[in-house]
Amino acid sequence: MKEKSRDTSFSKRFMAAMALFLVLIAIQTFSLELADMPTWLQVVVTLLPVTPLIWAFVLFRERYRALDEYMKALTGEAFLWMIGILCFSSFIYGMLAMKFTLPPVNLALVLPVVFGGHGLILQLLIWKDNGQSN
Amino acid sequence: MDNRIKVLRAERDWSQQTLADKLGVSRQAVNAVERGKHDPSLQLAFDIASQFNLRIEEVFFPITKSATEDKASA
Repeated sequence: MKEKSRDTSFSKRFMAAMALFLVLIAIQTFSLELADMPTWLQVVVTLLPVTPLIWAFVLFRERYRALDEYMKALTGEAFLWMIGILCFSSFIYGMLAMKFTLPPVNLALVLPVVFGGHGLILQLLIWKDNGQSN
Repeated sequence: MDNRIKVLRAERDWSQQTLADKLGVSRQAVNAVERGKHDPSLQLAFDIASQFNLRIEEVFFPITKSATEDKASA
């Protein structure tokens, strides 16, 4: 029960962080297009959407620390897999880019790919261990 | 490490979720421990044994060499 209410609380706060992120993206886009701002303010406005992502990261860390030992182990393993995939794919891309002309990759995609991929791998690990549960 | 959690649960008519709620862990954790996919910490092992009012060695026991061979051949 305690675990469920903790999950609900996490989901609510995480969704709030994501909603704030979308709002700040909209503010960023409109203000950069419409307002005439000095460069330093443009930099601040451009980086504004990062703050709810940091908040989301802090929330995730808090949730991780509250997990039981088994889910902590699986979450850690999922991150290890994701970091491995990220490192190897970026290394392969870099090696190829030294010899061939490759399409550019936006670095802003790394964060959502890592977190999305981590979630997916975590579910796969849970499914693998719990395949024949009753 | 092997265990008798499934049998002990069945004797008490507890689901994995029931035991998980009593222990304050996820159902997946109970399932993984029960199936030998995860070796519990000493604290969790003591907690599990205490839920069944048994001693830890009555719930958990090391996998014997013959059991490992049986599993491998199965």
